[in-house]
Amino acid sequence: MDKLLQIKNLSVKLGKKEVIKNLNLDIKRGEVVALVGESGSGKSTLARTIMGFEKNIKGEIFFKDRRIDILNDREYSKIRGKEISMVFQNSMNAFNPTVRTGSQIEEPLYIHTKEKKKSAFKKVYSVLEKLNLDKKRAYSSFPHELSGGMKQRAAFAMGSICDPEILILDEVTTAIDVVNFRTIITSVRERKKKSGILLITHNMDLARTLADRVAVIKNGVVIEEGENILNDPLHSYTKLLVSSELNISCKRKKIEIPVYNKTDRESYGCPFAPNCFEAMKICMEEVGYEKRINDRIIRCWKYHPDCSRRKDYE
Amino acid sequence: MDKFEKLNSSSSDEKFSKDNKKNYDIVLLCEMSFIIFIIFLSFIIPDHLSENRWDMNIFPSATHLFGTDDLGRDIFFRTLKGTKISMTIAIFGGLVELFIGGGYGAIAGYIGGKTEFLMMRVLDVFSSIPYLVLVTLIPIFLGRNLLGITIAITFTGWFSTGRVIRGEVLHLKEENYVKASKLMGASPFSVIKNHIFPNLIGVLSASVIMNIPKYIFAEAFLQILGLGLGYPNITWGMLIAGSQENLFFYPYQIIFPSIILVTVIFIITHMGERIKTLINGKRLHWRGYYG
Repeated sequence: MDKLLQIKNLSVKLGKKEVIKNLNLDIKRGEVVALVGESGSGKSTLARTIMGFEKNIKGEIFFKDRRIDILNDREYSKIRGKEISMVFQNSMNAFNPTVRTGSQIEEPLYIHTKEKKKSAFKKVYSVLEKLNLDKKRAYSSFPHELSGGMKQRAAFAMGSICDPEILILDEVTTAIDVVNFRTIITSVRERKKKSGILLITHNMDLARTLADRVAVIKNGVVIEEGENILNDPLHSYTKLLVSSELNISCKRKKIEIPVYNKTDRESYGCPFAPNCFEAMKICMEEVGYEKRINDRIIRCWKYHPDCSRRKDYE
Repeated sequence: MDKFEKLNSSSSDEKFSKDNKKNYDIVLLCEMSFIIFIIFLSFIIPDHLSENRWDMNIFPSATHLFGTDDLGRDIFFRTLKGTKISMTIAIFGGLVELFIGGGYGAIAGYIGGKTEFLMMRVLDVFSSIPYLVLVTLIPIFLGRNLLGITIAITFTGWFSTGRVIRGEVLHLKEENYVKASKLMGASPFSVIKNHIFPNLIGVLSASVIMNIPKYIFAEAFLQILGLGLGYPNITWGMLIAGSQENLFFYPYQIIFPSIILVTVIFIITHMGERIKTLINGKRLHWRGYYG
């Protein structure tokens, strides 16, 4: 599998605050990478950075071995929507209230591929049909005439109409019912064959079902990354995240973490250190030691080989 | 199977669809057709109608609906005839507002930055010149004909529309769909055509129609000051101004044209209000306030 998107040592500043710190992430073709974390952890900022909206960045982003973080706006606009596309978080507001939905969905086609009206129309119809929408109605009605779920799916269609190689889905399933949830899952799986997908979500079940790889992010640092980490978490923050899920009726194995240690201290190291039960002195000063266990990456000082021997950490 | 088919196409569905389509305004339609009707009449009436030297200053009756003036001319027909120039000036003013005001504001708002600053300061400078000075000076250069008076009246008229449209475009520019379209590399022309113009139609039409009475009144005002059009033309202002000296003896000569003027101004203002509420209602609907 070739690597479509490579992010190397990326740091992003919003104003004076560093929102993403030294982040490394790869997306391969035919892979869904889920980005999980609490709100304010920099998930959406990462997505916006990949789309080229953030200017104050350090580090490198490669798209098919071509460095894209140094491109200017005009060069970037040729990629945006065609090769790298995104379905935004508040995609309900993405539509112009005075223009029919169908012509808004085709707009990226006209801009990027100079397609003629008839073929564009056919393409939109086929995409809408796959999303289980009433294609005639969705095409020819104004956005306010569609329901919330329909609008969400239409926004999904608009984001993916040009068959982008990298599709970023930012909270696509927020307003969607269970049946259409499944529709979106199947269409994402179908799209996965041709392209790489970055899925940003709060929904652990969605991440479990769809993602090939999950990255847990906290304050701009990828804390844990790997294939099966949500079912078998090792880092104490991931444990907290998984155990905070509501599972009343599920018979899933519940993971107990001892106490959620609450402090107001600020950490320059591991972002979870002030709240971590097992935190050591070094956790507050340096970002966790990177340990690789069979394709899984954990950043925690607990896995440092010297951890058990040294006493000054405690 | 037949039973199911009948159930699906029941009559209750048709009722719903009828209710949905009822979004026109019957009052607005009547008002519009009245205005268009009198403009149409004013164009087909011949110039010198029922002029009789011996029927001077006749009180309103069945033969002369509004009476006659001191030269024996029927005031009803003269009032109708006056619609032609008064409304021409007003509609021309509206078009200037629509194209020059709207265009100027849209360009300033869309480009933004230093260009916008400069364009708005130019507007400020021009609008700081007193209205009466411009209105008296421009006809001196262009002559007191239809063109001169029209330009004098409409020269300052589009400033407010320009400001309103610029504000609206500044607000629209921050909308997600405009940003997305721009960032994908759409040309400015297609962004304006697809996303900004459809959103402006409502504001533009309401603003233009609400400002048309301003021009009707300005024309009448100039006539009363004695700065208006020359003799062979007939306008509402001229009728009112011309019969000022007969105010005490034959008051109907000034009252009837004034009533028509006020009525038309009222109707057009009301039309503007109605269009505004219609569009605002739709807007609220689009934003999702009503269902």
